Amino acid sequence: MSDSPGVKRLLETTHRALVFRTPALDHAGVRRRVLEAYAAGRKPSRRARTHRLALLALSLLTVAAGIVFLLRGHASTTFEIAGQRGQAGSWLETPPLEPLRLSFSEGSRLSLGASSRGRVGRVSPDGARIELEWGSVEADIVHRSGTDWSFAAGPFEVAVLGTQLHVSWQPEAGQFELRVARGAVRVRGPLIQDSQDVQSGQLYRVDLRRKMAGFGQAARATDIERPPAEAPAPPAPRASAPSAPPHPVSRVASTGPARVSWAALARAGKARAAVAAAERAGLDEIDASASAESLLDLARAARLIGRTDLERSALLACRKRAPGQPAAAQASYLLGRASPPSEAVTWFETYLREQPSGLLAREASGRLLESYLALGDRSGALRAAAHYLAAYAEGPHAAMARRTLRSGKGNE
Amino acid sequence: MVSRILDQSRSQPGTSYQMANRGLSKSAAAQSQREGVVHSELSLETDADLVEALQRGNGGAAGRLYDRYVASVHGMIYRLLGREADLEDLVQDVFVQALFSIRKLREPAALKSWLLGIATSKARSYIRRRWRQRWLCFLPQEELHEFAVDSDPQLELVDEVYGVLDQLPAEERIAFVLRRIEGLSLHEAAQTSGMSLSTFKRRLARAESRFEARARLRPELVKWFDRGPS
Repeated sequence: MSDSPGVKRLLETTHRALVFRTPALDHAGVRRRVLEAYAAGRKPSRRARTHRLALLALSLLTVAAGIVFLLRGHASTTFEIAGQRGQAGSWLETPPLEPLRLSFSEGSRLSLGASSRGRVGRVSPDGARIELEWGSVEADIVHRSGTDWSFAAGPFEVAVLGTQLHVSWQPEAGQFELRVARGAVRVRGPLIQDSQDVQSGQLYRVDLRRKMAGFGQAARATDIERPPAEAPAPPAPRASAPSAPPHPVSRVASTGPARVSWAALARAGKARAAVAAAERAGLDEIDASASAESLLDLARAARLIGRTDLERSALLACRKRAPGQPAAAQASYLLGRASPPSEAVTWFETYLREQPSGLLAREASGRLLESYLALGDRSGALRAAAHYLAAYAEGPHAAMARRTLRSGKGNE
Repeated sequence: MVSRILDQSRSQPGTSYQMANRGLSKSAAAQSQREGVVHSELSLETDADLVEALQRGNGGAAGRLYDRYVASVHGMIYRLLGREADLEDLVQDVFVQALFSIRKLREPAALKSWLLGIATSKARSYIRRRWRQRWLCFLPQEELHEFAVDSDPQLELVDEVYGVLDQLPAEERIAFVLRRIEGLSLHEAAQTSGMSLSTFKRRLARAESRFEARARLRPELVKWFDRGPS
């Protein structure tokens, strides 16, 4: 090919135009779907089992080393969950309305909020690392010389001295919140240049979707309840890490279906378990009584494991449950995505009629155009293309829409 | 209330704030910079650490992989496919496949190029699918007429270039984009596209020749081939 300066400039200009006009991606939505798919499909392989055995052996060695260390007078921090010894590395999930309290041997206290997932990633003689996958955690950390406490909430890192704080991470919304009631912390993460110190009484928020970060209103003091010794212990938590010991925490699979609802499982991305629990609970009953949002969660779970029949029935039930509501419109969009072009056209048009400015309107418009093209419906395609370009001239289907219009004009 | 709005051009959601791209080539590092990846002095987890965590089944590692590389994968797919692709589904597919095949990754330090290889493979399948769909489409491509809708001349130019690329076979298109638009070295481009160096060179030469022949038929592009528009 000619290597003239003009051609080089042409390709550089193309590259620049693409880089500076890369369309926005629904990062939080894609991230959630990726993690849901991963959680739904993870199967322990033989190699994973071998790894677990190796980890078990390693754990035993670590315990032995710990005992030696203890005998030498430098005890590692331990913690209790609901009065029973906790295991670092085990994931903990809390159901709706049921926070979980953890107390540490050096006096610090934690409360994993309701509908949250997190774990004590590691413990050391001077503290622990808490990893929050979603939800919230409140902490009251005892300040000592050399205190080593840190929190990881999604992509954010919070380094702590002695303090009382609340950390919240909602991956679906891309929202991080840090409230410090006492002491000071340092946070690092996306949208934070270098690091940000947050002092007593301050609230710091990051919204990844809106690309905003900054301080909010003064925080009210968080209150980590310290239950009296005789207080009844809260229910035992559920831990889902494959390496979790049988005691003191039991695995999700071993808890009864009455304790973990299909809706909670679906919301937590445990697609296969959610569908199984829903079938145990009775699909007719669910279709008749579940909330529209729960039905959407169930439909997503069903889709992830290839149960298109269940996905469809949940979406149709959702439309009946909340006519005229955004959830019903969302169900239309998902029905369109799951249907052949002849039917998809109707569902995408329904979405656009019900939510013309909805979050999925651009995507529905594009998919409507695709469906018309797949059907060979020329007038429908021209109409959809014109509508698309009028609303989203720089959208991902704009080139397809332009081609459709050009060709339509050429054929007249 | 959130009170400070940060400069969007300097940091993006989902980009890595960790010094995890050590060992990247110069062009890859430049690409990270173009995509707004922010590197700080914080060095918590290398790519090798992250791969190890994923292979161990660490619960939070999947999210960290996504956050670290979503901008690179998104940008690469966008530039391979142009403006009409269904980017969200493709980005999602890339990460899901990566997570399920992470155990096959032999060189943890090569995580990024491995991911971009998957992205390229997904883009290749997408191009082939489009190519097949085009045969079924009722609108023949050769009958396209000028119909200016965009008011942005740069985007019109992009559409012209990708209009030509749409006529190239998938392998040649990928070779052309990686080398001539993305600016990767021959070695990097061959590795990312999963071709041997000699195969890559052969396909690139064919792609360049076809691209020029077809671009010269377009009034908006032909003027660039001699001196380029002033």
